Amino acid sequence: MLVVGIATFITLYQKRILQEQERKRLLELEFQQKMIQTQLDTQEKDSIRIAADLHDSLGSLLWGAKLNAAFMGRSFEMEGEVKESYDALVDILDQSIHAVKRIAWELTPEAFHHSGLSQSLATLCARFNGKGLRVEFNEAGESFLWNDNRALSVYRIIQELVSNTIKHSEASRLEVDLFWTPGILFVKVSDNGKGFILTEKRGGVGWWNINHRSKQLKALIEIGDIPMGQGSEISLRIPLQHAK
Amino acid sequence: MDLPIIISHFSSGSVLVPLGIFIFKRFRIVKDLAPLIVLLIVSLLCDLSSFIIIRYSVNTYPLVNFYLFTQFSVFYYLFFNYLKRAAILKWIFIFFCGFYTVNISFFQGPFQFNSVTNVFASIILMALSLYYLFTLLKELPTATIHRLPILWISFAALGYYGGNFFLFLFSNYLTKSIDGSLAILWVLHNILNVIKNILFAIGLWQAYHNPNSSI
Repeated sequence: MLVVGIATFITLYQKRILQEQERKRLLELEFQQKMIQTQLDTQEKDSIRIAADLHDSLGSLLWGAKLNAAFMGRSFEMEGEVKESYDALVDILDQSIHAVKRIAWELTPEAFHHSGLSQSLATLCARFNGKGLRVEFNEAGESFLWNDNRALSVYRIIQELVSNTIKHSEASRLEVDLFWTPGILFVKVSDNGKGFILTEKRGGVGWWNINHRSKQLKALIEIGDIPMGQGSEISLRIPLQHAK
Repeated sequence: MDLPIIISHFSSGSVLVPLGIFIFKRFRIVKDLAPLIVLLIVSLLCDLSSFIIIRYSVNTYPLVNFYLFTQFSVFYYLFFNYLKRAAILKWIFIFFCGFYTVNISFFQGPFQFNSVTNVFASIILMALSLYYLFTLLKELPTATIHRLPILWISFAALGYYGGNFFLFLFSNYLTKSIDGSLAILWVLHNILNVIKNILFAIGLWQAYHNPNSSI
């Protein structure tokens, strides 16, 4: 009886230890996820703040400068080099205003919550299209207006992938494909650039964001096995539960 | 030689198992288990003394009562230490000492086995060992519980005093229904003693091989 008692106690104890270890592991996981969520939320808030600052302060200043320049244009008769210089100044101001708008839009797509994921991605692709790079956006399946925080995370991932392609791939063609199914959204971002080495350690902030946003979305991310120099292909499989 | 006598000698000799480990480890004393070594030596000395004085037809019960009190005190001290020296435990021990003194002085006396005190001691130590085991389950102090010396000492206390409790509680029934009167009681008690010493030996072995495992 004593032997049975000892065996039962030790078994019970080990079972409790395993339960406790599992509880601690889940707590740690939950804590890590909360930390990541906080970090991503902070990034998003910072983006909104910077975008607002850019738009409201620098944007306003540039608009003010352009209005003054226009007033000067109307007030004085300019000729020759002065006129050329004045036109160049107005052109630079126009470009600066456009750049501020573009940066602010990239930081917080102002219409994201109105237009949703598909429309925002179409706009993103259209903005990068041209100047030696053909960016195509294709969509299939039954899409819907997906505009919550999960959708914004998907948008950020694709934005980061597109940005990486533009910065590093030397590609002339980039495709963003969405395929909507009732439960899953399939995303494919592919280009014909120089590709990248799969074994290379990806420790940058961009990849950190992609990985952690994917984890939060419970998405599966796959990097296509394409030979070096023949482009790259990155696929995402994003569950759509509670998205509608 | 009768079987009860053989079992009795076997029981007396079983103390040599944990003591043998102590000797094998060159008399090194693990800090927290010093009282246990003292108990083993007292046990050996009491058994040797009983073996000698019984030849002169001298009553050995004073020695038995003294040993049972010593054993209770050592077990109690070990649990007292491991249960964070709770204040209530001090009062229980003082109450037990008073009970022991009154019983040995005015009721059962020193020349007969103090069964009432022994049942009382059994209840206290069973409760303490169960409480300690419950504390272990609650606090989960280590992943390898079998390496904890006090665990084996708790099982020793629970097995020995639990067995004793039922033996002495049902002593009347046992002695009436089974021939051999008190002999059967002592045979069962001696078996419990052997189990207790084996569990002590396991506890000591774990203490020597896992010096950081005590709580």
